[in-house]
Amino acid sequence: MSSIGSGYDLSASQFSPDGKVFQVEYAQKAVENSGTIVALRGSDGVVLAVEKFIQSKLHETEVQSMTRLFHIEEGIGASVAGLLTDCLMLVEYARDEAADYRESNGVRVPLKVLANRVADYVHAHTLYSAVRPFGVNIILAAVEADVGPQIYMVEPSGVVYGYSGVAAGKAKQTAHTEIEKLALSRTPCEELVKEAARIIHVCHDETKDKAFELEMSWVREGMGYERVARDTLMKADSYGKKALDDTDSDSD
Amino acid sequence: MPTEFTSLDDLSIGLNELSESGEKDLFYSPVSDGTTIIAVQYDQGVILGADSQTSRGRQLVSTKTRFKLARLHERIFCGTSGRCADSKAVLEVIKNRLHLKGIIEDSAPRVRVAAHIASKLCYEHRNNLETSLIIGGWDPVEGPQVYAIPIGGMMTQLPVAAGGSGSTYIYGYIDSMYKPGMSREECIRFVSNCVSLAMSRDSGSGGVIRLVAIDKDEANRMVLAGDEIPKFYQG
Repeated sequence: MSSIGSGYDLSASQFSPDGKVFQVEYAQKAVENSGTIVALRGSDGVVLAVEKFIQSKLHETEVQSMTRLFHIEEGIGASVAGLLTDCLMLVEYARDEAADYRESNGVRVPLKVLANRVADYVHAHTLYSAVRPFGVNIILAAVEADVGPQIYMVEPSGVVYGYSGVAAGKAKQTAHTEIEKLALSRTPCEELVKEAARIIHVCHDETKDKAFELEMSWVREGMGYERVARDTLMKADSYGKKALDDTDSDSD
Repeated sequence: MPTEFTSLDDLSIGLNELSESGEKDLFYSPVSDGTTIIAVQYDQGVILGADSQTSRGRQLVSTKTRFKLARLHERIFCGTSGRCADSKAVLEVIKNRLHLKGIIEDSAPRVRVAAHIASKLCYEHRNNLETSLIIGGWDPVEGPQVYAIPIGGMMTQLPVAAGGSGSTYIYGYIDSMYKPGMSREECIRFVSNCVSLAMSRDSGSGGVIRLVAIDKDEANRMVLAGDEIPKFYQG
């Protein structure tokens, strides 16, 4: 499926004869090596879930270092897949742009505007040989006053789309199949946290992947952005594990 | 749109008398709005009203039919008072910024954002500007809103706001007659009465009454001239 660049892949300032920018394609590969992230838009908000690989048993998970969920602005959250340090740069950019908009305009940045700004920034890094593209898919989520809950995802090429549900990372195909089965617009976030946890468990490959930790946060109408509370998270996690075990036993 | 002008013939006759009596303010005064501007918010929309007179000093009426309710965007209008040149300059900047913002963000700018941009401009240049604004409009996020931005650039959201030299004469009337929950027609009558009363007592206000009625569906410009202006006790 992937072709070798053979000479046209040395910098982002070059096209290949078949019309590809290989550096962007390689950046997309970096995202595909990362743990899966999922975003679901429900009736009253958006749930963000992350399959966070645990690099070593010595990692202290309580202090939430190496998190992949970020608070961008009041009521705006983000989840990221790909090279973590690239992700951190983009998160900082998103935070700066959102703060700047509020300072100039007196209101919170509309999510569409923020997503487009981040996309322009990512795209700018696909034009020059002096920089490399971001190996990041970033999902931005918020509840907007006039249009309700929104999800946008920016890819390494700089394209940005709005979604009702989306996934990125290793098992995004599996995740997309699961997401399509859900009746998202009619489901409240209370229910969707359980479904998101289940999808992450389905995506996780026990044999190939390291141990993982489930991370979740949400933006909800009137509640802003929050990490999902510990007990809700635990309940969703066990629901997810149990649903997976049930499916496994069904297939005997 | 009528432009400000002064007939030099009129001026030259009076110049000598004026300089002898020490009153130089006629010739050297910048054009200013001795003005009455007012805006009131009701359930569905906003009514803005203004007089139409500008003066140089307190002696010459330089324009009798000025438009003091400027369109910032489809559903956002701004009443101005103070030095005309300053008002115009600030309005142009706000108009351009809102225009570009509406196109780039692909949605109508919010009234709050227009007011914030205006307030920031007026504050940052407060040492050089002498202009006071009242912004009224409708947007899908917050509905009808009125913001007062007096000289200095502070921004306050109010259900009813009045400004300009004429406003001082009608605060009593506003306080006694304004009630929340008025209908569109009641608001139009209220605003017309306010401007009429101010015009009859403030030498800086006069001409016709200009009104703009803004709601979800339209921004409707109206004029009350001559006999249409509400009549009160004339003494």
